[in-house]
Formats: sequence, structure tokens, C-alpha cells
Amino acid sequence: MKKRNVFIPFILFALSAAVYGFVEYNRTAKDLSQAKAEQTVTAGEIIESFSNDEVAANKQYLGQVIAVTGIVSNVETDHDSHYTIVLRDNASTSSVRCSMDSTHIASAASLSEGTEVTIKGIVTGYNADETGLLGSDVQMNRCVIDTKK
Amino acid sequence: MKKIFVITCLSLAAIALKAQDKFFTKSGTIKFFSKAPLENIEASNKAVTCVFDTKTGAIQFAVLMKGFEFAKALMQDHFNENYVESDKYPRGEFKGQIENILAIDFASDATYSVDVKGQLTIHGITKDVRAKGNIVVQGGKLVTSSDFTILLSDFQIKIPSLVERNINNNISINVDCTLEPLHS
Repeated sequence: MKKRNVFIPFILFALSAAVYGFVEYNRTAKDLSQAKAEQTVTAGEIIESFSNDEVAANKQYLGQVIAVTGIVSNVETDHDSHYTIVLRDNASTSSVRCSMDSTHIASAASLSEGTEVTIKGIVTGYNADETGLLGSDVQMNRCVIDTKK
Repeated sequence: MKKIFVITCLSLAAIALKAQDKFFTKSGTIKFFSKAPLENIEASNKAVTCVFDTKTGAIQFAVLMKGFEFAKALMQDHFNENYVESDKYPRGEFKGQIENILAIDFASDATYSVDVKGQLTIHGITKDVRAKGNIVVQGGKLVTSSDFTILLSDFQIKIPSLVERNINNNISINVDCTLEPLHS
């Protein structure tokens, strides 16, 4: 009787570890529409941080959920109906490119050029333009349109 | 006055011609795939930048490692933290040359197979790579694609010994970019 009592916590522990492991193993990327942005910035501000000091900006933003407010300069779509919303800071050719979450296509498609919007996404990094032709970009993925301001 | 006008026209025409030599995209796709006994590893990135100069054959790709999306979030975390160390090495790059550039007639719609040679940088390591690809000239756009294989060990991407048997050292890479003319 006493022996069994000793084992119960171990069994419970092993069981919860197995459940945790299973859930963690099968975890999928979360839809960001319910996620809280860790920082809120304007397109101009985030572009400036990256162009001034990429290493420092990577430390500040990389991999985080960030809400970026800017003017839509382009709505791009490809043959897989994957949307990219380009937010521009009116002062430069640089932009924030937001690769939209495929489950939020309708809201991305409804955006039109010139409107101000806040987009929430994960900052994946900065592509500095070496050619001088393309403009540099801050990139985000899994983006959703932030409806509450 | 007339002379100035002619010179202006000519230089503008030259600029226009020069601009059309270059094609680009910022939303190309790179996928990678690795077959392994336990489960297959698969991810894609749809924010690939590519610039291609049709005159010289020079071609460049840039991709942000954090932009690769996996079906399983844990796999994505491991990819970023343990394998490619994307905080330390955020970008992957290829700079190369299409060797048989002269065989392509960019004025007529057709499919051309190309040989690409250049340097691939991942995880802070640069290696010479060669690959075969296709360029489809299609209504003023260039649909480029390539499939090639790299070895994780070439880029000093270490597989922890615990999962060594579950992860293949060979990674198949698929590049798919639709390039548009660059108007500067």
C-alpha cells in the first residue's frame, strides 16, 4: 500500500511530461490576430532603426510580434494568391514588406493604395539594398491587419 | 538647342534601355525539403529578393532565415535556434552568374535551361555551388526556377547526435522567382 503511494507522483509526472511533449511537438504557428504586439511603431521609425544600425535593430525587433503603422504603397499578389502589403515611409524608397497570413487573404485584398493601416506581424529581418536600385526593406511575415488601434 | 534636345533624348533612351536589362522580384519563393526516417522536414519562404542582369548574366538572391515557415512551430524554433542560428546569421545569400547567358533570347517567349554558378552563403559560411535551372521568358516577365541539393555539413550546420539518424544531411532546395523588369 505504502509502495504504491510513492509511485503515483512519478506516474503523474511522466504522464504530464508525455502530454506536454505531445502538445509541444504538434504545436503550430499561432494566428497573430489574437496576439498582443510587443511593440508598436510607424513604418518610418522601424525603417530608420534598421538603416541606422542593423545589428541593434535586429536585437530590438527580430522574431517579435510588432504592430507597424504606415501608408499602403502597394498590394502585391502572386499565382498562389499569397499577398504582400508594402508600407512606405514617404521620405524614402525603403519600405516595410508584410507577407500576409494566408488565412487573412480577404482583409489584405480589400486594402487600397494610399490608405493608412496598422499591420501586425513577426519581424524576420532587413534586406539592405546593395544595388541601389531596389530600396531596402524591413520584412515581416504571418501578418494580419490590426483592427484595434 | 536642337543638339541639346537630341543628346537628352539619346541619353534618356540609353537609360531606358539600361533599366530594361535588369529584372527583379522581392516576393520569390524558396522551399527546402529533407527526407528523414522519422518525419520529413519542409519549409518555405515567400519573401525572396532576386536581381538579375540579362546583359551580364549576374544573378543574386537574398533570403531572411527567420522568414522560413514550417508546419510545426517547434521545428521552426529548432531551425532558427539550433541549426541556422538566425539571430547570429539572419541572411542567406547567393551571388552568381548564368554561364550560358548568350543562349537566351529575351525577346522571344520560350523556355531556356541554364547553368548557374556562384557562391552561396548560409550560416556565415560561403561555398561554391553549381545548379541547373530554367528561365521561361513569358510576356516580358522571366519565370526562373532551380532545384539543387546542399549538404548541411558544408555549411557547418551541426546535427545534434541525439537526432542524427532522424535528420538527413542532404537538403533539397527549390527556387521559384517570377522576375519583372526593373524601372528605375
